[in-house]
Amino acid sequence: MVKRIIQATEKEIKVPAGTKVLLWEDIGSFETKQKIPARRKFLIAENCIVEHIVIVHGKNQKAIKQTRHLELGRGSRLRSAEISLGAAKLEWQSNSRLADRADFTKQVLFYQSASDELQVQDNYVFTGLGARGQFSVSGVLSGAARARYFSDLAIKAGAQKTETRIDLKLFLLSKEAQGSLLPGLKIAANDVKAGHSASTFRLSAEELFYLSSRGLPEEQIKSLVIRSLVDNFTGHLSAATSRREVGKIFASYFPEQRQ
Amino acid sequence: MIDNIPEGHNSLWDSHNPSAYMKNTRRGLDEKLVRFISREKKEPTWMLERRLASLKIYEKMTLPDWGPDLNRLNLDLITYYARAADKPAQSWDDVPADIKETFNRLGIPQAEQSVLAGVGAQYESTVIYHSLKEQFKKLGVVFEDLDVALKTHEELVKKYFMQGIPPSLHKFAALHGAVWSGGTFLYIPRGVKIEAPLQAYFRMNAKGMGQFEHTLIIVEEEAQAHYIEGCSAPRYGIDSLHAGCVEIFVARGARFRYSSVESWSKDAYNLNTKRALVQADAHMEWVGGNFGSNVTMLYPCSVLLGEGASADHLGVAFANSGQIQDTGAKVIHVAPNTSSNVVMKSISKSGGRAIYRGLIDIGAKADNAVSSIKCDALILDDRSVSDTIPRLNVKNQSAVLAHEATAGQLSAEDIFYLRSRGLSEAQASATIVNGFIEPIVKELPLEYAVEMNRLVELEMENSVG
Repeated sequence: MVKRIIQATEKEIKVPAGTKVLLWEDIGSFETKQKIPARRKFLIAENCIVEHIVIVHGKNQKAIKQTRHLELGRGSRLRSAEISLGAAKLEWQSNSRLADRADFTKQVLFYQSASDELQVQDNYVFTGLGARGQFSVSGVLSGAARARYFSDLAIKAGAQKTETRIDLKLFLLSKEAQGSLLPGLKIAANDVKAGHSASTFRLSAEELFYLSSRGLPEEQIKSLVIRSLVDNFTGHLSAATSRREVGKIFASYFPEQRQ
Repeated sequence: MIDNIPEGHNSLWDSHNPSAYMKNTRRGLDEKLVRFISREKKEPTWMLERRLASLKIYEKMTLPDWGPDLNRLNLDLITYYARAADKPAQSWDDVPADIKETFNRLGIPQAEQSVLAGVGAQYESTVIYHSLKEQFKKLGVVFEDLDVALKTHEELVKKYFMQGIPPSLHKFAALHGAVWSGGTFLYIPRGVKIEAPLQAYFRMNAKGMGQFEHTLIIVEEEAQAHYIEGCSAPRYGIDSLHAGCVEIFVARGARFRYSSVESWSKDAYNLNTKRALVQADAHMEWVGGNFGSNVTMLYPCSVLLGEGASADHLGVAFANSGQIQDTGAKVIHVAPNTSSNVVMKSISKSGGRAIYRGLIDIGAKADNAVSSIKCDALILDDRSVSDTIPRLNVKNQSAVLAHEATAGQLSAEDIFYLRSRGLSEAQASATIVNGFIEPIVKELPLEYAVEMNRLVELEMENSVG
């Protein structure tokens, strides 16, 4: 699979019909000083196979705001992995439209700490017959971070045989962290399978006690939670090189995760 | 008067009586009408003051900017107050014959005989019948028309009235505060447990009517009761408005179940507000079936104020042709160790739109809160719509919260199986839909479960072919 690195200032990315490509997108990287466009469009034509990795690590960024539009063409398959590693303020809206038999799988992992604020609005619109969408979002909040994650699955009239699902999971690792989840389903076709789930988790007193009794301080236990999510996330990336590179970014962000 | 009504919904709910009492009414709302209502009811000054304060809030507030579009509802065409009877009777023999016949057809007197501890019946703006079995009166239970309770238990009413639902909550709460009339006052003393349900039935009869009954329920410590409300109205082709309020105060260690089966006419706007304030170790259960109406906006709310408080919300909504059923549940976890469970089922058919709209809010002090929400939607044809819009706010890291929603259609295999057993396609569909809502229906007393199943069958008429 050909790797294509998306440049910081690119506004429109076109993938011609029948292409196999790995799109690599690094937003707010430590090296990048160029201005990121407020809007970015992805046009994936018919019968493509695309892997798309998006990394947002805005440790040095005050605010990142972006609206993204994605058109996934008939019969195309897109595997997307989005990693967001904090920014003082991150506003992210993505609008995706899926044509007939398009197949979209997306995994999102975000980590917000200190007084970071995250607001995400993911809109997925199914317009064609027999499309499929599987979306999984895991978020970790520590410090006094705030997150609002909204996600809408809309199945238009005529988009029969659609199968889609979104799962939102939120881990709050501190008393001051707060999160809102709003997973919406809007269905105007009857021969569909659609679902969503949203859940928040905590480390139970028993789990904390068990791990503490093994000599692990609470901070390290929280690191282990993050690590398990990261491992789970990278495990889903298809290319070994992608797994290595994403692993490196995580390691640089969470030095305590290094072996 | 029942012109231009399509075939297929010939239920008894669509019949109506002549309404001579409407000659003395007028449409629209102003301060003069609010003062008139209060004067006619001979209310204490503090209630008039609260009405006028609510009216001011109502005039300032705009329509809700979420949920279905209400701009088609012309509030100037609504009749806000109509007195159908002078005072509530305590015997059905004293109820005017035509009104009595309506309630006979709805089966209320029969149910009173067989299964109920007490019954209230409201017709337009006034309660026409109220009764409580003697054995419960002796225990100190009060089950009255709220207008009557305002005179007989003024201090209690003053203490609780619109304290759970402030008029500033939204425009229709404010409207209610200004023009409320009739409704139920239920007081269950400390430690009293009533197994048989108490019931109130609210009936709108005249066209363009507004009904604003107020249900005020106080369940004292360690008490237990079950209250059921039913509602209906005939269809005229002109909008009517139901904007009732239900306030429930559940004290420490008490248990209360509120069930409602609402079957409004398909030109009614059902904009009801229901809220329970639940104290420590108390438990609140909401069981609801929403049928009929043009637009329904109804989200019973539990505020879990005391440690260990809990709430269950179970609901069914059926959206048929031209209907919007925007229903759901709200639970606000304020105290530690609180829990909630929400199970909602919706069915949309023939272009109907069923919406689940919910809120779970876990406050900063609600340590170890647990909440589970499950929503299932059945979409019976390709013209119908189902939306699920839950909102989950978590401000406490110790919360465990799980929301799950699914949507789908009737299984072709299930229908084939039932048809092979001799059922018609319509019967097979109705059977499957009744099975779909069974987890909710089974929580109702048998008579009401039968009624809810019957309503489903009525809605399923002409569903195939």
